[in-house]
Amino acid sequence: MYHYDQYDETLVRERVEQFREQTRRFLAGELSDEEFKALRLRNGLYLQRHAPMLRVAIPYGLLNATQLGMLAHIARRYDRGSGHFSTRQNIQYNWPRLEEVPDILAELATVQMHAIQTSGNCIRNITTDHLAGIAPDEVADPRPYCELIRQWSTLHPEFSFLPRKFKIAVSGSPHDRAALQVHDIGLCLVRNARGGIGFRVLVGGGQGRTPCIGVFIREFLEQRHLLSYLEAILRVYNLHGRRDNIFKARIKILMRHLGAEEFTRQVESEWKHIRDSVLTLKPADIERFQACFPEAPYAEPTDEVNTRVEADCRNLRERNPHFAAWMKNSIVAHKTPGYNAVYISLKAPGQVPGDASAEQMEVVAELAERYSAGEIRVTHSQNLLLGHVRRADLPALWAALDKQQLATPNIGLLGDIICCPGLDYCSLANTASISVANNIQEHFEQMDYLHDLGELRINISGCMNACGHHHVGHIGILGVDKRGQEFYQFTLGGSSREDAALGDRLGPAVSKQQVVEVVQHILKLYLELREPGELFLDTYRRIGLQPFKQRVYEDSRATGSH
Amino acid sequence: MKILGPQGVTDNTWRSLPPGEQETAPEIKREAPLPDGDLLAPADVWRTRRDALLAHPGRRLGLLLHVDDPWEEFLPLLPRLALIALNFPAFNDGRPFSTARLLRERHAFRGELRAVGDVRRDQLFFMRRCGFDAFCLVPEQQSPQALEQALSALREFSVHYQSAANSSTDIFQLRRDHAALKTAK
Repeated sequence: MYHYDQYDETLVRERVEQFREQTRRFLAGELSDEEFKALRLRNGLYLQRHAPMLRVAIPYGLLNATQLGMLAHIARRYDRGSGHFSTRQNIQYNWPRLEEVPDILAELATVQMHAIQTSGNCIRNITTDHLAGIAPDEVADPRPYCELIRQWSTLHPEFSFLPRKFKIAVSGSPHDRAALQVHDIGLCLVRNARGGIGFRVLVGGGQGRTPCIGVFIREFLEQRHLLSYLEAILRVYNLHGRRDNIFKARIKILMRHLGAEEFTRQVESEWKHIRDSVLTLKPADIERFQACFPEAPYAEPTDEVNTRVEADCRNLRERNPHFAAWMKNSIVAHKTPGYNAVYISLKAPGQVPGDASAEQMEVVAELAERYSAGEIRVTHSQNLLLGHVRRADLPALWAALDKQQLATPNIGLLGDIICCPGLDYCSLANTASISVANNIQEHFEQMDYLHDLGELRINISGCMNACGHHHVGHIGILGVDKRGQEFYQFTLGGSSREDAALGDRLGPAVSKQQVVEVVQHILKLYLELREPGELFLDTYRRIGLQPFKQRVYEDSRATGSH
Repeated sequence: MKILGPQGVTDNTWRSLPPGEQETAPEIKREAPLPDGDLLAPADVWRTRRDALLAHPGRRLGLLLHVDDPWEEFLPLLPRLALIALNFPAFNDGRPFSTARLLRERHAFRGELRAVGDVRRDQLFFMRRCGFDAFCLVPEQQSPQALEQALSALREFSVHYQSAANSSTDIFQLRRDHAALKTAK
């Protein structure tokens, strides 16, 4: 992974000192609430319902064991012993004290971490595929480009006061595991007819209250032009994005206002001026960044070892159904024979989705050291992943994870709910989301076990800001407040993959008590109508919304409209 | 008002013309003589009294731009302007950062580029990197102590990743230089 050089270290250290001074001035009354707000947000600090919330950047979801150990230490020393991994591959602490935040940032800096631009109207943490560098279907490793963009966007003098927040995702594979199409900019690494590697560029996706699937504005951008093209897009947005209405300020609105064609024309026209400037990357620049992400030291096993390992795993699977379920669910193919990537579910029943205790983080850090080249990844579905596990180590790894409640075999299944913190923590939310997630997990775990529901993404947001990505859930659930009561609006058929789609609204919102019942109707209808091998999303796309609508609102009187 | 500029803290010597002349009895105002001294005129005054402004070759002239002004129409004037003041309508309105860079980098404006309006200490570092070289801070940050603090804000970072309007070397280039030096050895 990327290691800071002297320049990166200097910048982060100076940033900590700057924020320490800003915090001091605020506490001394020299900075107004509003001014401090603009400054603290770009250091990831929110003033929340109960206490401040600090969001720490995990650039493109990649951590080493020492860093995860530090995150555990911070959870224990400055928080109440846990942290929450977010859908943007970052971690959030819900109980730090404002006065101590500069110290937290100083501690983070010692392990080359920071909270720069994890909030505020600026370019946020760059996200990517959690299988970057190890997926068999990859065109190129996206991480060097993520790091390039991270550096270019860090404290950018021109783009630090944008009309609104700005999110960039990069994928190295045609199979989109980074939700590119719902980002302000999505970059997909592709190969052109001559075999050259470049980017397909998408702009104007987003969630929130005006969800949009982005539009590809350029089919091929040469690597060396990456930064100049981004700068052209951002400049057009910075100059022309709306600033009079916070709900219409994202680039997706500008793009729809101008039309994709006119927007693209403006970007290309701006780009002409700067495409051959200091922003042009030299081959040596790109190579330097690529060299920061070397292959893990793989040792391909001999056939003899392979045969023995496979026999051992088979035996254990036969004897232990829990291990068998985990092997079936949580193990991913790896480009190197004899290795797997392994998901670590942070969705154990009854747990806050995405939360990990300090102890769990420490155990995962230790297991990463022992089994996975000392590296951990955070997925955008709020789980963790070890990227380089020898198949021979799977039984031992499973046993260690299982002891910490980290081996729940529900990755990509009903129990793997994406969920924002909701009313319990967030000052924006107007309804609970965690308890809804837990109710669903509890009620349907058995159903999933009996009927093998297969891949099913349930996403829950506690308000229309959509941090729980409900628009792109196969089943999306949005909390809405109606005269002080919590109601929940369902959408069906969303997807954040390469077949990206926004969910269709099922019908009127239902009360909190009815959420489980509605999920039950939806799943039962799917089980009745699914054809062999069909996943929920396939069935939905085949039969459409109407049968679900009818089942939920007409066939069952219990969920009458509200 | 004090101005924080390349020479440290100085008094503002520019005389600002009020906006909106064309709306209030333009016939009279258009005839009225312009005051003496260095004049900073907003875009609409430049439109209505361009010839009068340019009539005295010895006089230094400035243009005040608000974020919605179509500033590109004034590009032919750049060689005659000693000052462009870009107004920040709010602390968090980032448009003038882009305008400043375009004026400096694309249109080679070499005069004074002054940040006015809601200008506060914690934006100065970014402003200077985008090409501003003079700052008129908000009234509550005009005390000698506050201005001293503002000067230190310009020194908060010793490195930066982006090349922008000011000439200091960015980290990408520093690394290239470093690599070249290593190869040379």
